[in-house]
Amino acid sequence: MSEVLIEAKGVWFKYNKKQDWVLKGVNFTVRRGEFVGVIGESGAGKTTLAKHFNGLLKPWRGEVRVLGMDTRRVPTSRLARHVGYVFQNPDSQIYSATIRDELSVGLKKLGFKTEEIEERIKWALEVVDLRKPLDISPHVLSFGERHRLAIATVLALNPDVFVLDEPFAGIDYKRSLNLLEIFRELTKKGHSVVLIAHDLQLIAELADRVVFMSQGRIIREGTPEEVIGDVAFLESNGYIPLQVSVIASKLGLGKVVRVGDMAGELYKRMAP
Amino acid sequence: MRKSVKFAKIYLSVVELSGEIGLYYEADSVIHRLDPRVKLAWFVLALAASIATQFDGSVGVFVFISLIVGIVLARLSLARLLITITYSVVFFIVTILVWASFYQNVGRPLFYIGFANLVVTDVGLLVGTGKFFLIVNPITAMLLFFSTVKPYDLVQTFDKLRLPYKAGFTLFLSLRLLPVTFKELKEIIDVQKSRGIEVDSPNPVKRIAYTIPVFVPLIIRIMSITWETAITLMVRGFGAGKRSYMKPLNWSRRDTIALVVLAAFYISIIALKLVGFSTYTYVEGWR
Repeated sequence: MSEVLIEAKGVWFKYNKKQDWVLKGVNFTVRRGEFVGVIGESGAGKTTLAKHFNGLLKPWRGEVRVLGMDTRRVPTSRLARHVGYVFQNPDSQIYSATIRDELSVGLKKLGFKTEEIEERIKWALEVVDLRKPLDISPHVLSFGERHRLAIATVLALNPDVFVLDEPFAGIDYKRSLNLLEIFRELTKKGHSVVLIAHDLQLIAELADRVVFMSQGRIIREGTPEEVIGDVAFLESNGYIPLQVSVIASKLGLGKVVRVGDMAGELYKRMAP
Repeated sequence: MRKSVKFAKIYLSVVELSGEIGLYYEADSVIHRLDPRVKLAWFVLALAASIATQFDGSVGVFVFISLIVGIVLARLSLARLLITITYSVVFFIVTILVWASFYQNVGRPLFYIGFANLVVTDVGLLVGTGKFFLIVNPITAMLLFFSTVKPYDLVQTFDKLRLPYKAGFTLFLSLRLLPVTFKELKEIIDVQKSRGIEVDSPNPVKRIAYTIPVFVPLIIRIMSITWETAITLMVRGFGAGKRSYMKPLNWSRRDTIALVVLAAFYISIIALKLVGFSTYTYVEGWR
């Protein structure tokens, strides 16, 4: 078993005393090298849970530990070294006069030398496929480009865990998939990824483990096949299952989430 | 470490509570049921009475009490009342000290403040409290008005008073933007904290330096939201001609009674001040 990076134990949370519980006793673990997909309907508590991972929210009951540190006792700015969070809206983050400055903010804080900062900036921009002069204002970029810049700022920090909260608004499918493949590669180098998304196909392609949330609780957890491949379960929870899963289910091929797997299964059955 | 977490909590709760100020507060109260025009008149009367009593806090206090009664009757949240009172207390002390220092040699000395080397006289205290109420009363009246009048009704109120529709609508939009601004501010603070920027640092110098990462994105977001709103309004036919209202305002007998009572109260205060009445001299004379 690999090292536990994030551990949430019996987390109960609500935004204020008068409100109902948004998280109801959630247990969640992220291990080193894992790619975890979190799905669930809007208002299920996915973002609320994710904001516990870097201490932006503190549990009312239960606890969240990041590399053994209790998030209630460590400021978010310190946890940022270990947990990188990509938000839904890049405009909430960008403030610097140039792309270079925007990318170097966090790196300077972590005390990197100029050469290394330049190297990391170059690498991060290559990863997100943003080929623009470094001395232009980030505000002249398109929304999709600003989004990729925001992702690059988190990549450059090289944290242990990447939390991606629906990070692909304004980014086309191909680029989203490419970016996620990069994150997938990073898991092989010991990083972990928590991806919150509604796109079942993306999660099915890349996640090692899928967590399904509903009304503040984790109601199903397992491999993509066990969660996303379960057509009846998804339908009963308001999700439209993947076509490949529906076809596989009708053909009696079991729980399948990738076209390649279904083709393989069919070939096995049809082969003499 | 604990201090910084505690500070962040206080900072965010202040941001949250500030976000509430100036916004409509849903409640079923006698004040909410009044016609917005009565509440606008209340605000104007309270403002006039505060100006009339600006040199005499012993009378200005009655205007303040009337507004607090209004807040209580409107069943506004305790947080709003607490914010008003907390800020008022700090402002009260500062105002008294400043104005009392101008009137050290006028009137009867009441007490001496050692650290400020200040003699507070009865006239200094009356003027100080009067000036305090001159600021606090209109703010409280405005809080009461905006907390009990739906932004939608505000536009109609302006329309009924034959004021330019665009002026009312602009006010409505700016009020609408207030909670959005605070929501954005909160999100931006979260984002920058997640990047390792210590916006919640206990060090005040650092905090000032870190206002740039918060306010630059905030201004950009607000400008973008305003632009989007303008476009939305255009495509929805804003300014295309005379408009109608889903729920027109209805003036009832209750509104007339409320207006008469309020007008009688505040005009009496103004009239009493004009003839030179002061609660203080009255109590002194009686004594």
